[in-house]
Amino acid sequence: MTRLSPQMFRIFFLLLPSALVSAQVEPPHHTITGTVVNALTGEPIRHALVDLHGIVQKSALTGPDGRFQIEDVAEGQVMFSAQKPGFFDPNSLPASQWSPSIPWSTVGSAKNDFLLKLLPGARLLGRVTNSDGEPLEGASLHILNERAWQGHKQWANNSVNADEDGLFRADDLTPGRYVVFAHGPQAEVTAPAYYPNAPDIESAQAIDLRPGQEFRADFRLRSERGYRVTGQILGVPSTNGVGLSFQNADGETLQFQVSFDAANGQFVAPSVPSGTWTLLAFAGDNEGHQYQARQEISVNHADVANVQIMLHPNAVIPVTVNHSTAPSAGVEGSIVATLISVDQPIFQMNGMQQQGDPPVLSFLNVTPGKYKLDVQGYAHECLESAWYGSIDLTHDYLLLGPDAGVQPIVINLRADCATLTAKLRPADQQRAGVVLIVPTSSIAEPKVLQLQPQQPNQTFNRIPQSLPLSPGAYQVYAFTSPEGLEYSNPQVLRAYPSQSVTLAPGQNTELTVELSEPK
Amino acid sequence: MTRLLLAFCLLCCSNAQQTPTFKIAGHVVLHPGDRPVHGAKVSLTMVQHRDRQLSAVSGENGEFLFYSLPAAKYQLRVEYRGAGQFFHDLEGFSTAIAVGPNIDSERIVFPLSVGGSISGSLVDESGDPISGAIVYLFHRTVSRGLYQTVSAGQTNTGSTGTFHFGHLAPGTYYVAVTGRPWYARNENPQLDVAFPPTYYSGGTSPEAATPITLEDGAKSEIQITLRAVPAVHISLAGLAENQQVQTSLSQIGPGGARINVGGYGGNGLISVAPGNYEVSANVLNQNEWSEIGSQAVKAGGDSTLHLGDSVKTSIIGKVQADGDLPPGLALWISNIANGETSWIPIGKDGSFNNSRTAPGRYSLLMGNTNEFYIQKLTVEGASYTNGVLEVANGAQVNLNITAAKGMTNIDGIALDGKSPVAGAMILAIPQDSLRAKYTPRDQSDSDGTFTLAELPPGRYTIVAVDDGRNLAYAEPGVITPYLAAGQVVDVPLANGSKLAIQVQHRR
Repeated sequence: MTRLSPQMFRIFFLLLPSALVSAQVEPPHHTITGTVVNALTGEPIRHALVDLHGIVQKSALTGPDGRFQIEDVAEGQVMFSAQKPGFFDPNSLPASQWSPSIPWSTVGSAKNDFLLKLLPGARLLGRVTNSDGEPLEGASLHILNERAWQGHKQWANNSVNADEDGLFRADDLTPGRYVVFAHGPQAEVTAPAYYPNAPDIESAQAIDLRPGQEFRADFRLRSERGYRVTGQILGVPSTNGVGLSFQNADGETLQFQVSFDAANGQFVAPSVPSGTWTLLAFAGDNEGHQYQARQEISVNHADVANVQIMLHPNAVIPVTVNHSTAPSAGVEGSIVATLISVDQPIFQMNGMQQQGDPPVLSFLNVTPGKYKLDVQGYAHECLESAWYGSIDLTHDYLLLGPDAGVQPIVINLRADCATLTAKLRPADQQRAGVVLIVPTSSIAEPKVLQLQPQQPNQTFNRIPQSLPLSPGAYQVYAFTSPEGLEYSNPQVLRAYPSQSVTLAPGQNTELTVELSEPK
Repeated sequence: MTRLLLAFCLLCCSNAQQTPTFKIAGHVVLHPGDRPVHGAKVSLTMVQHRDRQLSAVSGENGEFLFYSLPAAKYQLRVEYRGAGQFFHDLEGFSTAIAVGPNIDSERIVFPLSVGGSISGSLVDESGDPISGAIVYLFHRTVSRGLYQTVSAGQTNTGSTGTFHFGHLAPGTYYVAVTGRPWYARNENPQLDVAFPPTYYSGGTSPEAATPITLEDGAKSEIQITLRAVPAVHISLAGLAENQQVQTSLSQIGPGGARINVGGYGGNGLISVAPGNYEVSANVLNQNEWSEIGSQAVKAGGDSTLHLGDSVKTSIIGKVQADGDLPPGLALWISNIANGETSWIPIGKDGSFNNSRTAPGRYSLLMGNTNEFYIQKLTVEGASYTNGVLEVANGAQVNLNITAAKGMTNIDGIALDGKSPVAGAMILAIPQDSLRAKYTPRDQSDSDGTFTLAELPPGRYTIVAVDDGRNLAYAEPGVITPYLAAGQVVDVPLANGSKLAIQVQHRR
């Protein structure tokens, strides 16, 4: 089954008109009809909006019987999307069993009648009370949805609040795995918890929601005594104020009340429950520099006083790029470099920016932490080595302290790159897919090569299906889609078939790959 | 049982052993209903030393107790289910509890108002929920002695089209809604539709708004249907080639408050439901956005709006005083119809400038000061009568203010015969027409004492009323019957003198 990720969905739209226009022949036009139905029940959906994406975009609403009609549509490949409150289009989902197998439709000279399916949204609801069973109005519920983004697992966060009766609900959720985190309002001190009553995300109950499913998640948050946490923020860069927030070990931001006195830098959090929390302070100066500091605070059934937190400016790390040949205009932009945090509970990455004239490449606003450098070269250049002082960033992590001096990152590119060209088996030629090229001789991120489906009547394909790669050893995987796949984790990839390849300088290698379905 | 969280040393002075101490005790009950409230946070703050606080949690029968308190006045506050309330709270004035010899402070009943709510759902003509709509709530009330229709909240509907306003005082409310049909498409003539601003229970003009009467603690549930109509288009003229413009549309809702209406479309074109709107525009000039003013538009069909016809309504002026003006000084202007207030900063040289004034009727005060008051005022570009500045659309108002120091406080006691009266509304009705719309006010504490703060010099009639709820005392027709039994005083009073005011029953 072929699945099209949202990214590829968009790329397809971009490709389609140019592919058709290239024929430079005005195709015949037809009236098309169709029905929008509930994918679970087959019932027609009235008053749904159908968008047709082709050479020209057109729209129509369905009637009471779920039927729609669009006039004057040019013959050829088109894509449909449908919308209706309370439903979602399976095309918009990451790879899953709900995604359609064929993402486009053909308008031809025969009967043009199409069936479009929408999936009903899922719902999470419940009630939040304190130890006495009293409703906790204003309690905050974090609806965390497990996702994989750029191959990294993360929890997408959507927050709702409990009403006066402690009731909450989150509607229109897409199918997937969820965890719910609740913490009480500022007015009442309670111990935050993950559903059903877990202290951390690892021990929380995962809720696997199917389309249209309703799941009830009630919380009884333990009423606790709050303790006073006081201290001082040092190094405040301006009178613009300081932002202060508490986080738990999983990076969830909590609503504990905290006030800051700009006159003397003192802060007071009057009611913090026992536990280990991270106090995050952040500020900005008048020149646009960001400052940040994190400090773990352990509240053990007693007030905590004299906490001192020193704000430091976030680092600006200059980058020197040594090209293999003399750079020509715009060549600085021919690499994409990224710092990826590997020690934060929430996935973060910093892209590189180009500033000034002459251009200076730098990573801006880098907070203290542990990072992996990822470099992708284009224009026939690839990474030879990368250094931070004496640290080899192709094999080691960049450790950035809060007040350590910053050195430039030196990126050396080479021209004798190897090239890996991937092609699908003949049986898969009309399918979309991705090839993951995972370095085994460095800590670099997997390279992603998009494979576009071969269109009927399409004589060329504008998306390159090969990448310049640094010589070295790789494992090559192929999937119908990378969406939802935690491919930066070698343990996850181990469950899938792969091919080993070692690329010598300048070597051109072609691989035929077989698409796997991500689990 | 009462769980006490005492911070004893915060309140007691250093020789506490020799000083007699007292208690504050009572019960928290729900109002209406008188049901005991268990688990409410009860806080005390010493009025003269606001950094000295105590808190406790009410017990099974709503009881609370604070002991070892030095003789003083304490502000009492209860927090419960995410909302807080002071003792006999009325528009920010409350009744403080006095403790000391021969004062009963141990039989307090704290009526905690649970507040009402208005919940609802928005659907379109097909019955589909409308998400992302803005719901405005207005409260018809008496505020600072004036009948006003004030903004009481604003919220967005979620994916199910529902909304909720909680903790509402009893009274009369109006609901207005703006939004866009989820299926609207400007490029498709059949789907180029818009929702007109809609008022409960379905009308599309403020005059057609249906009031919702909310009893104390009541929960009202409503449904509003928004009906899409073909959009009309307003083209903007007067822009340079490729010049960027930002527009905002608003409509005057109940009480004159502004309701923002989304106008959708590309640069230079607004797509909106037919109706009357105020269109404000900003244009980008050399990387800076500049405001070009606003104009009224009657959108009955496709039309062109000439940006050059936009006007700005502004208030500028100067404050003069003997000596330096303090930093942070501001001119406080308050819309008499809807309570919207603005602070206009006053520079070191006394000048001020506000180019974003909405037309309307305003009262004026010096803000951010407890020293300066408006002694004299001359006005150009607007009228100023009986304390009301009337600003027309497009007016360029110039104020010349003479400010002076010399505000004083008046202490006194509210009495019924010889007995102190707690919770009475105390008013200082100015006889100077310059201040006709600003009435200094206090609420008597549990021992009947009060302090009217920051009165400019002049003649006042001091009036005490036992029940001040919804008393429109700034309306001459309402306050006149009380003046005869009031006490006329010239401020400042003689040194050390205190007033004894007989409390009048509410008429």
